[in-house]
Amino acid sequence: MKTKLFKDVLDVFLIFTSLICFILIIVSPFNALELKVNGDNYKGLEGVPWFTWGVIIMNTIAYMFFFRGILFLRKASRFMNSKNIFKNELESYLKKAGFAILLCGGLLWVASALTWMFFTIFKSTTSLAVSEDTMFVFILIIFGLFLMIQSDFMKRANQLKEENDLTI
Amino acid sequence: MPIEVNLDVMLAKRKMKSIELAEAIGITVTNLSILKTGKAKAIRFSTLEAICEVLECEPGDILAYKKDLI
Repeated sequence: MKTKLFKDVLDVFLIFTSLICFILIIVSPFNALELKVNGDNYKGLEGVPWFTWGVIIMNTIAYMFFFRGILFLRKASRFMNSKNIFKNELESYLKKAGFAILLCGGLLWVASALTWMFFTIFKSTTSLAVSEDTMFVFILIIFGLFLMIQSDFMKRANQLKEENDLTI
Repeated sequence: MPIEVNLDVMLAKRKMKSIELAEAIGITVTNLSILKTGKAKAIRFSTLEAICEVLECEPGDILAYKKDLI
């Protein structure tokens, strides 16, 4: 029941994000996109400064890593639903998902740290370094590491199961 | 593993077939084959006891420690 719900939630998430990505790709060439980056509003992609471009690109790459992580998690959930969960594939998918989400968190952390530095040094504005976004980044890093630790546990469990099966 | 299983040697000495031993000690032929080929990771005392009883031998006749097998 829980694993089924988990898989369904991941499916819904993937459908929604795919839809949003599709709409963004269609809308962006027509300058109908309203961007809000670092507190500044931009109409379309024109007039966006180079630094903001860097932040946008870093965030996009981070989002791609997150998407990849969720895809691997979805693949892992298929094995969680099966009767025999002691499979090397489950361990491998959990590890890949964890690594991708960890990378996403790391990249977002670097992006937010650079933004904070840029605003402090060049624009001489001070802002609080800890915000909801920073908390989200930490949660992502913790979640990624947790998945990787789970994968290690799974590996150990597989070894124990194999040992148990080969005890005559 | 440096532990060698000499079950096939004992079976040959007693002129017994694997299937007969498996039936006598109450394990499957597949499991006995795993034990014979040395793929087994561990052996239960109850299994060892049953093998020794049927083959009329000591545990040392079935299991041997070979350092160079590591």
